[in-house]
Amino acid sequence: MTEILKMSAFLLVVCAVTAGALAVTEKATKGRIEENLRLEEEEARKEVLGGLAFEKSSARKAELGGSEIEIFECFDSAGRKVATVAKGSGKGFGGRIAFMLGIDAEGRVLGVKVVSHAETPGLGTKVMDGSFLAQFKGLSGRESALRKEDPAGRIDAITGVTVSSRAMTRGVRGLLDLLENERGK
Amino acid sequence: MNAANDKRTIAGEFGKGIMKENPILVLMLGCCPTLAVTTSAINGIGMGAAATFVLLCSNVIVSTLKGVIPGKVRIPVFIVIAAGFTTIVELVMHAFTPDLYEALGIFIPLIVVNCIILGRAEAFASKNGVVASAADALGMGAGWTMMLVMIGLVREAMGNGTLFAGTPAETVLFEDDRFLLMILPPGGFILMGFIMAFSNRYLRKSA
Repeated sequence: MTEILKMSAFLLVVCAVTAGALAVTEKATKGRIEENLRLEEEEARKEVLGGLAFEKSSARKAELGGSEIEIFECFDSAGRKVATVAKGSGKGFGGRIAFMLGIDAEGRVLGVKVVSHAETPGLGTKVMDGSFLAQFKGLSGRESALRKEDPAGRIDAITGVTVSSRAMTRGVRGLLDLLENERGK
Repeated sequence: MNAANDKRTIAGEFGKGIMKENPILVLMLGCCPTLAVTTSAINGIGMGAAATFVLLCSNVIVSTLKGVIPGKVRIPVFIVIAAGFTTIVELVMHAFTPDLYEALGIFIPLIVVNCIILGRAEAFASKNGVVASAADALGMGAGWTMMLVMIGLVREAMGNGTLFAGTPAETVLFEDDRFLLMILPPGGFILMGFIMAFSNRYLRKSA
């Protein structure tokens, strides 16, 4: 009986010390991590807008596929909407691939950037390369489909990376359709 | 172990991980992450470095505590120590080297379940002194990293036609006819088998 108590107590102490060390590290790094994430998001937003300048911006929420997404709208000095940035995701090989999408006032894609994923390194991650994502530039929702699956599609899938290619293409399509419907109203 | 034990040195503890007891070639430890992440050379370097750091910390702590850890709960204790250091590495990298974190993000949590960490804690650090355990960790880490990079280089070169893609040293070897199988998991298995066979036949005296 005392042996069990001794072992439990030792394990408890080890866990408590580890938890304490983690709490200290978490506290010390939290601010920087949040700052990094904020900067990253700002950087990503700039990137998907392809250098398009705007004066003011506002954020709002919308619903896509049962989950809430944030839509970020950019206006010029006259108050006209020049671009929209939103985050969407597609079901990839290793989980959701989250991306950021920028569209211009006509609803055409300005840029796409993957922000988080769990795809196979060196294989699925190829859909995050500039050459694959560049294919989306200028497309409308209807055209965001794989060429081999849809005659209107304008995206070439990467050989051996069909699942991830499809995930990105469908994800972008879903988000474009949502934004297009909103514009129609 | 035998009479050779008397002649063990710090350099010897370090050196054995490179060849004589290489984790991949001989001990067959850490094969799972090896196959999973070695699709490129840079992945191998990053994973190897991060795991070596955790291995070093875990070996040092385990060898320090070896007298007081109750035998029956040693495995949970080793795992808590490894998981603690892995999470600290993850947080620190996320805060201070966001680019490296981004590149390695998904591999870092995998270090906890890397059997080299547990294997060395059990087989070496719990029976040896702090300095010897640190040397063992560095040697094992170096030997493992070496194999990751070697497998990564070959798989990347054959399967993707590049060397060190994603770094300033990127070299494109060829663009067409890439041997895709090498990037996929079976390619990793096949290559690892060839490397082990070669090492058993030519590099080790008693195989």
